[in-house]
Amino acid sequence: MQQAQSSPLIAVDDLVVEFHTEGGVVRAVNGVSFAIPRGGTLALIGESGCGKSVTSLALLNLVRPPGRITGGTITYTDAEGRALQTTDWKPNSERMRKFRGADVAMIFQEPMTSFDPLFTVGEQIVETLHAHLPHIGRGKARDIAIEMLRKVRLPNPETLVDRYPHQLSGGMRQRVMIAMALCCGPRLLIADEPTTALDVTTESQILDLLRQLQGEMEMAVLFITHDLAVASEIANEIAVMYLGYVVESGATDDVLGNPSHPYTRALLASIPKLDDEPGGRLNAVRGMVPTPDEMPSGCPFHTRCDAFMPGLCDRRMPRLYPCGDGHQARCFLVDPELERLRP
Amino acid sequence: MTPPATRAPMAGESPRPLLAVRGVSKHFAVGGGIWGRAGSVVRALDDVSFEVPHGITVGLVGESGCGKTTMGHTIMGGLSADGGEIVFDDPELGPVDIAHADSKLRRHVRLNMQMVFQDPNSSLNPRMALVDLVAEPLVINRLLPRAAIRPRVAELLEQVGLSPRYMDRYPHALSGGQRQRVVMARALAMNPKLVVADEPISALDVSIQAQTLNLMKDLQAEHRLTYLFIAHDLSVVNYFADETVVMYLGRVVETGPTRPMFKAPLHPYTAALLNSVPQLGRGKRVGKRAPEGEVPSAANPPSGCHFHPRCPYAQPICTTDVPALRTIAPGRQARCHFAGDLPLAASAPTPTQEAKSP
Repeated sequence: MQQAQSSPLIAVDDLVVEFHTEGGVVRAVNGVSFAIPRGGTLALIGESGCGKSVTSLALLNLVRPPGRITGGTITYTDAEGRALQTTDWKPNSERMRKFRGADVAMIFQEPMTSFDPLFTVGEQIVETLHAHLPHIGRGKARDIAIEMLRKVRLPNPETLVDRYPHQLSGGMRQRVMIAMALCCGPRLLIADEPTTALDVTTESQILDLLRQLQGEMEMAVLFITHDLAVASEIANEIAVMYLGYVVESGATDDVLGNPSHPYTRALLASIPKLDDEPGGRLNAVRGMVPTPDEMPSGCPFHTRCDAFMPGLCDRRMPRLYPCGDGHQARCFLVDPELERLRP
Repeated sequence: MTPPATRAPMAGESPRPLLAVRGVSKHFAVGGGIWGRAGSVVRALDDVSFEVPHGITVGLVGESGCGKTTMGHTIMGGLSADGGEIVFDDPELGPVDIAHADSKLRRHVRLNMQMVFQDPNSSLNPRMALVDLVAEPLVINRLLPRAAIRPRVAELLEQVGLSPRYMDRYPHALSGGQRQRVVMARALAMNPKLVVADEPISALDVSIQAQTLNLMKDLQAEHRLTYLFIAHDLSVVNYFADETVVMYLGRVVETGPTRPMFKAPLHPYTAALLNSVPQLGRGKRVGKRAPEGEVPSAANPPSGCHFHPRCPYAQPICTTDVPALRTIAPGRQARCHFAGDLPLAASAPTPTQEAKSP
């Protein structure tokens, strides 16, 4: 138990996910490492195509062919304190199936596509329960379903349990999806853009709810989002991804308050803020994200970077340099020996 | 750009607004059936009034189902209003009520108005090359001889920051941001006065959103464009819109210059919206921040003020009487019985712990 306290709930080390396509091998995730402590919240941030969703699918070993985990390890520490390498388990194995849902659950952006329209909300929660607790009776399972709906603050759970997904609003559906994900008491919840499709007041409610449930259930959350502001309000730690690499990571306040990678800085500068004085121009990031088949040499961001140093950034790949307590950035500018590197 | 509060009419600018929406309503019948049973009526637009002055950007904000997109389509003529006036200040004809004009007149006036949609993928025909896509409005309206089309398209593409070399490519060869530029080029082809942009950046990546907003600002300055900017992202509206119209369940609840409104909202719904926006530098969420309840169904809206079931300041009068859209301060209107008397929070982030903004 002593050991269990110190080791993180889940540790990803040097994860590589490759997609074998006709055009060649595309590395969607390239040596990504992070750890989430028990009850902690990590936000993975990045634009589309940066590999944040593939990383989360890899945690559940759900990357589909032609994609494959080709390197790295994922270590999960279970409730008894045993360190388990989930990357050793086959995607279809019984062990992996037990792990999904019971230990780690996931919610997605668009709740409607995650439900079967032909079954009531209650039947779908009961189905999830039965997959992991086959001996539970129908009546008992229904009671748990109602209890879960109450837990996500839905009004009249006794009647809602017999409703179909289309009868609910977007915010209610997202609550039901959270109820379904949490019904087996997972220790890690992966939330992939859970509020992106929602209206702003509903988004705010769902974020409040996730924070409350996290406290009540002592659950860790991996929060995947493109929205820096959402991440700043929900996460203890942030990892910024670009083209499959983690380019900066650390405590939320450090990364957003003292960004050290030019990409993080550029992203922060490019978003309009509610307390900005109007007028003027936004500091847009130049160009666009390169497609994976035209991966830049050297630092992946050098083609759009304002601090680009020719001869260095386009030749060599920077490693993650420490730039504070637990704060690191993948940029030569952070290297204390930068002068010796300059061509 | 001059701040909206001190904006004075420029030389030659008419004091008339470019577009005035007055008491517009639009009802949709739902339910019912072929036997003529009475179904319910959704009041998608209920007595909507606002003005869009020349050369500025007016933001139209609200959550899904508030009627902001219906309003855009009604202005563009995709839907016809059931009541009220939509007066457009035509450069040749002067003010024309397009809601009641005959089809020939309407067609003439509408050449000055263009619309840009959220998803550039679904507004560009994948089987048409860029030159045909951008030239389509010119061809349909027979504005240019055939020989003049390619040079004009090249000019338009350059204006939106695309190389004319792309002219013979197809939309699939472009990125999302580039496609939205093509949509802008096509909207500009007719030299419009008013561009109605319905969530033009919502489908784009964060870094591309800023580029697109900058482009829209540049085009506005170059072409003296007026934008009606329909959006749900209040941070973007704060940056982009000089004036803002807030809608809730088919009604306008507040209008006025953006900055004063966002600093000190007059309607509790505006305050609730502003408070819900995730913000950098506000620190982590503790406790509850979101307003109670959900947006009610438009088919069965609450009595009186539509917002009263969720409003922390609701009084008995709010459940019975519909408040009027009243002028509370110069240029600012709100549809609330108690507008101006409520202690509504400002949008500025409360500094928690140490200052964290970069």
